[in-house]
Amino acid sequence: MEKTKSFLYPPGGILIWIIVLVEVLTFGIALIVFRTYFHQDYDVFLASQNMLSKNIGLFNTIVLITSGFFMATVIVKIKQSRIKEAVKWMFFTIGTGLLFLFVKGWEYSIKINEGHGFGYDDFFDFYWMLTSFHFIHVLVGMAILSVLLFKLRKGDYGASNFLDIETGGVFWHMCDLIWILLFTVLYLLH
Amino acid sequence: MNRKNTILWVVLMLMMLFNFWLAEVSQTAVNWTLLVILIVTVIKFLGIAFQYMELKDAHRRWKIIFIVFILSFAVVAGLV
Repeated sequence: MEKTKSFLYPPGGILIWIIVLVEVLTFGIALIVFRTYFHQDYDVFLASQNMLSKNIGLFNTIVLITSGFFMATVIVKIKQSRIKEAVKWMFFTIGTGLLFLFVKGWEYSIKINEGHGFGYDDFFDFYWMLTSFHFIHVLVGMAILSVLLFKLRKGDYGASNFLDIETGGVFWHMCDLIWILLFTVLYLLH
Repeated sequence: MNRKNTILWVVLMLMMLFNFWLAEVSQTAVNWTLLVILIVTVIKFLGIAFQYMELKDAHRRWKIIFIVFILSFAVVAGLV
């Protein structure tokens, strides 16, 4: 406990928290710029925003937050030395991550078929840049979690050795944090 | 299953649905709805960071950094 209370040793390690900070700052600044553009060209941006499927955005937010809850449960189970249960919850985490990517891919295909691809207008330029960048983060997160799942099943982690899982979990939750900001600003605020 | 994690998940779901509903009923840029949506977003952000990412167990400087970030973001996003 003393170790995690040190500035140099946050849960998951200092490096992942520096990454999280840089990522949320980057997305945060980009979203502030988006808001500025929104108000400079309000009618056009509002019309484009209304072309987004808010229900799909809501569904994906539910899926990603639920995935984060599953990941938090993985950590709890490992701390309790319930490795088999941790493996099960890790499967659920990856499964819901896959569902997010599938639904996002479906939403992308709808937008492309409607002709609202990259270059359609400034709103959709922001939409594609920000959401595809986030999409890549989720893909990377899935790859990290898949490696962790493989090692977890091999018995490489336990109640006294779970730093890698904690680090992977922080990365996965970072995808939640970024998506919450994206969903709020791109889909909801006008 | 951790009780605090489960409660947070339920609260996050409710706040998300509330934000969604609020954005749907306000079709124009009304100041108070913008404010409420941003406040709920700040709470969701900090809930995930503190409970799921275990920021609550980190040094207080880390907590301050993330609280300052999300509050600054919300204020600027609300003002521009």
